[in-house]
Amino acid sequence: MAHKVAGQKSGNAAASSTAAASSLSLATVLHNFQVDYQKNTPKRLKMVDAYLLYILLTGVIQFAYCCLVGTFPFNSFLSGFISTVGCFVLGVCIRLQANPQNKQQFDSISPERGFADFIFAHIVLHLVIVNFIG
Amino acid sequence: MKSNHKSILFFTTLACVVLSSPSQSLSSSTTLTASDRKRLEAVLEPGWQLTDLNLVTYAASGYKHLGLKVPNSEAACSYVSGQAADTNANTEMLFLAASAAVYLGCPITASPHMKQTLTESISESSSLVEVYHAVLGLHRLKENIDTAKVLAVTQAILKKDDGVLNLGYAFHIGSVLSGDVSSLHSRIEDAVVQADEVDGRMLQFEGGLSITALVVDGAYKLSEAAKRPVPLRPEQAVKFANYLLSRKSVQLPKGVHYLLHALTMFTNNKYHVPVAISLASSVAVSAAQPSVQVSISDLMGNNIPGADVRVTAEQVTRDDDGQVLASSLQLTAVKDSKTLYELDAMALQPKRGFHQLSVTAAASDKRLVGNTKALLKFKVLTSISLERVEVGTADADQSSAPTLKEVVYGSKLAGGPLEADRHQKVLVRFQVKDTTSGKPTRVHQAFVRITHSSSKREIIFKADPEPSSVLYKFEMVVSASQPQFKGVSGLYSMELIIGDACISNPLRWNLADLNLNFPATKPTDSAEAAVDYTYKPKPEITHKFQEPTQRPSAFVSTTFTVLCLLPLVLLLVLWGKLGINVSNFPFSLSALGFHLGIGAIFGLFCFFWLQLNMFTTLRYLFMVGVFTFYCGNSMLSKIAAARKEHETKLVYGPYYQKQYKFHNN
Repeated sequence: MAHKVAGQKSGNAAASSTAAASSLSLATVLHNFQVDYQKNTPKRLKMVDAYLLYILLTGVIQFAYCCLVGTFPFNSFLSGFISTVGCFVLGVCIRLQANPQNKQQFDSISPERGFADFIFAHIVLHLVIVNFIG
Repeated sequence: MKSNHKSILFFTTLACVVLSSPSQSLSSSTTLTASDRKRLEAVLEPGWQLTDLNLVTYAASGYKHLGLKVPNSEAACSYVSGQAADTNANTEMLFLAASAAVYLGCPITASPHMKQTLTESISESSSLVEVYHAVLGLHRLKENIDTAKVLAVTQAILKKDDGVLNLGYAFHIGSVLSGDVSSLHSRIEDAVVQADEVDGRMLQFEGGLSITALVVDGAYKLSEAAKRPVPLRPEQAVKFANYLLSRKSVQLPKGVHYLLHALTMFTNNKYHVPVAISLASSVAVSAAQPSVQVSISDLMGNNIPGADVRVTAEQVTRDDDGQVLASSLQLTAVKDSKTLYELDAMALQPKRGFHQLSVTAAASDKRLVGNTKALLKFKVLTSISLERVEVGTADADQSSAPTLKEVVYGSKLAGGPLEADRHQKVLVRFQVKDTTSGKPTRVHQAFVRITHSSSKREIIFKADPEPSSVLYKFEMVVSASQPQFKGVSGLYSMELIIGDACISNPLRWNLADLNLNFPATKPTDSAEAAVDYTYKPKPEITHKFQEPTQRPSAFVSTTFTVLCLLPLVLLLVLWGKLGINVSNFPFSLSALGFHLGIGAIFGLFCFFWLQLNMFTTLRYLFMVGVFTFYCGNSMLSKIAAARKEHETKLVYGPYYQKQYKFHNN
């Protein structure tokens, strides 16, 4: 998902390259994509992407545990999973706000304001999660 | 009670009287029997210990009405006169003493002091019960009573309170006055309409036995004194009598006193003498005891007045089909008894079952009430016999004819026990015959009981009459009834049980032994068969907690915990690769505070998870939150300001001057 969002962000470049040569192989596309990502993405966003990847992997491992071992105790599993999903959503949100390409849409919101919201939302989310974890 | 309430009651009473149709008129079905008299005597007897004037008076009154001899009459007389001579004696004591003396037959002569005490009580300031005590006390002392004064005082008090109880006292006061008491007599109706009706067969006053007996007794006595008809209809008299008799089990000496007073009044007044018609013999009539005895008496259990009593059975009907067996049949008086009359019911050749007898006791005495068409129930018992009893077995699939052997009632099937296995069925056929009529009949209950010889476990089956014939038939398919026998083979005894409410010889007869052969049973069945059927304490119940769900092993848990932590390492590695700029950390107070605050909040959440509750957590969270917000706000504003300045610098380049700075926050 993180890559998809990255794709959107660098959509213009990727779309132009695919439009130029529609018969390019998948490997070439991926390669172009990676080069484009490394070149055009700000460092700040890359750090958020790393954070999102971390959250995604944690969620995947939790889900694998649930499938392999079982959901007991259910509320603990659920709160853990909700925590990763919630963190991921909030991460995506801050990524959208911090992206310079989306500046027109979030003109009134500075990156600092976005970060403060992110922190506040995290505190509320985790209060609920800790209450539910049992 | 208010007047509109009175009128409603009056109309209710009227409606009930009208509704009780004349075809089944009301009569008393019970009377004071010998055992009732014994019980009442036992209630009164403690009075003869001569410790309480009340008890002595009630005992003296009760013994007189029951016609009993007082055990220590001389001692009682001296006790009573001693109490009356007491200078401190009040009106009530004088009244009680004077009454007891009259009942005991040793009247007291009034002393001037007694006379003065009693006369002084007759005033408007006294309650009516005091006036009642005074007036009746004077009357029983054979002193003159100032009729005009008493009447004026009574009327004045009644104006203040004319409750039923006061009216009752007023009637008694009026009954001993010598002049014109019609003004009081006209109040009888006021009292009677206040009576409550129970079940359409009883009338009573609110307050129970004492007040009902007092008012009814007073009403009749006052009517006699006023020489006017009593304003009660015969049905009402019977209903009051029924109520009084329904309370004959009273346990208080005072209640016994009032009850006997009223019952005696109902046997010898000038207006109404209720007649009690009841069954004196057993309710069952059979060939051995062919007659129905009916007791005709007054409420005290004595014979009713008049020498020419004719007792007629108006109708004898059978309950089942309403068939009239006889009508207008004269009952004959039983020898050596003044109250018993009998009817030879078996002479009517009744069928087995319940019957109804409607009895009228007529006499020339016009005072008799409740003496017509009293309904009595009796049942006719007949004996039965068993005929054509056949026992045997047949193939369950009816491939061959059954082999049946006849057994005579009283004997047992000859030739050893009957053998039956799972391919067969057991058959019993019999006929029940009414010995009186000689015809086959049906009974309420016909059962076959099969009892295991050693365990005594019994299984009971129903024998059904065949719809087309008069034969009773019992059929038991051995294989189908295996569950009822729990598959236990062995020797069983077979009994026939015949019962009915209307037969005189119900019977239980062991007609045969039975050897049942079930196929070998599974061990579970035999374990079940060994169940003990006696009563025993059940095994103790202990509470069982829900068992915790199986948790994964420690190894799996640890592995996944490590796995969950691995992405964190990956994150740090990625951030390291990207070149995280830690050196850019603004070492200001607010930045430090902000990061400490965030750390504290998540630390607090850990405590919330481990030990705190929501309320304490929220309190701490608020405190830390405010601090963190303040720090975070100032830190982020500083960063934002720095960024803006930086951006502006980029735009204006070398022309940048400090005064262009944006003041954003």
